[in-house]
Amino acid sequence: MTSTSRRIIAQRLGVTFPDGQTTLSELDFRGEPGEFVSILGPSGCGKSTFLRCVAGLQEPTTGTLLCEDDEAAASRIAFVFQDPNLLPWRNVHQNVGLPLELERQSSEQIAVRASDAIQLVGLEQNDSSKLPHMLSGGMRMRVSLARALVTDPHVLLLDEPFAALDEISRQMLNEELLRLWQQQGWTTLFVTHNVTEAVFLSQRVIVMSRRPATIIDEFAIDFDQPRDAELRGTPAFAETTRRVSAALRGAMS
Amino acid sequence: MKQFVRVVLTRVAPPLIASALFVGLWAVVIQLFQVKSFLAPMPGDVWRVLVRERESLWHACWLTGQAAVLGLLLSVVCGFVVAAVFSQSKIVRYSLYPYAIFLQTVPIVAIAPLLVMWFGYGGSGVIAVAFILSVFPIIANVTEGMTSVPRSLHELFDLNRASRWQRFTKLQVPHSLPYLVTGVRTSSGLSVIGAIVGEFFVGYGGDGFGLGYLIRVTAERFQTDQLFAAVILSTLLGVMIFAVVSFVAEKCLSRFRAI
Repeated sequence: MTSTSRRIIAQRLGVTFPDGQTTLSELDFRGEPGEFVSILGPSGCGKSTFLRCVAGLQEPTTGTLLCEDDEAAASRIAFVFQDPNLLPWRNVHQNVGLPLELERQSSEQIAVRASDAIQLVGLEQNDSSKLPHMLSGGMRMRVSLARALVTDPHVLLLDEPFAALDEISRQMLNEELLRLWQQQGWTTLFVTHNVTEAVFLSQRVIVMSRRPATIIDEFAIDFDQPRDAELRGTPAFAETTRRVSAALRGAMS
Repeated sequence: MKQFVRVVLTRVAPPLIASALFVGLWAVVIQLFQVKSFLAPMPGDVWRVLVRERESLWHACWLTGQAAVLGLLLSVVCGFVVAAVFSQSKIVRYSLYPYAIFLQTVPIVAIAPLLVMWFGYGGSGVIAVAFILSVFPIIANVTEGMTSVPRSLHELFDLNRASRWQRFTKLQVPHSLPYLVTGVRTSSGLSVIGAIVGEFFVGYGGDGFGLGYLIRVTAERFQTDQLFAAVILSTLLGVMIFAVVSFVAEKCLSRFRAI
């Protein structure tokens, strides 16, 4: 899998829902190719709405949004939902292969690429034939991640993917995600409520205001790559987390 | 083996004992109050009819069962197609769904003679009544199944730019299968009732008669023992079709149960 990552440029982006609720207004954002950016903000502030705009699931009311490389080629965008969102009647392999199936790829192609993706996220090949209800929450999330990665995306969007997991599963998946990002180099937007997670994963953390949301603060996180579990215990990490938390508190009040 | 014994002891034995007690009580009550046999027969009389008339009863069961199963199959096919059309367009659904309810509420006894006129005497009239009575639960359940797919799953298909056909075959149809099973279970009993009601009005000509005809004729003649035999067989027929449907559904759809 090789990716040429794309940049994401949002200009004066605004979303007003049919009920008159303005969720985003005048949002300017620039994500560089291959950058990992986390988005923090108060509950219901519109972080997910922004992500859904980038994914094309939500039409912006105002402003422009670009997701392209230097030649302005279209991007393959993958989205990881808050819930694993697996089709319960399909086994792991069939779930992971779904996006390729919808692209009408040949079944040999699907078989090979789905197996690769399953391996990539750290699932065993003998999990392939299991149905979602036979898996733990963490494993289901891995399947969801594999399904996102199977198309070899340029841009990866994650909407609080690990929020429902226990702390250790979450940490392990964070480390896994970081390893994959370094390998694959997608431009990544990661929405979360968890400051530690945001600081651990990202090169940059942005903090959004309450609704209508706009970006009010931004932190460059320059810990060396590759990062490992040890990093969470360092004083520098604690200090950064404290600063980001303070900004988030400010955003909430 | 142990499992088998436990199932027999907990699930099979109690209803059998209950029915034995009921039959015993029935016999005692009739004896005690000297109930006339044309009002309610003794269990032994019914049993004797079942044995004596076994060939014609078996043939009647066979004809009724056939009509019920064909009506049910027709319901599954037509109900599924109608639900599929409903699922693809809100306007069509809102325009036509009230008329599907009509099938549920129409007094079938009133229109059965009409159906006989349309479909002629013989099997097709009976099948038509069985069909009309059993199609609505399938339309309703499958429509519900196809239109109640969670939004997040639809979005997954949006993200991958799925065509309408892909969305239908890979999302809506599989999502609706457990609903189809629920519908078919409900309909299986209704199809038997439909076949019997149909047979009230329509015979099979030279091929013999079904349970419905038998029930009507024996009731008119106060042949209560034969009437009871026919009613018992009708019930067993319904239970059997229900059991077969449930068994097949269980085997085919075990992976859908997690929904």
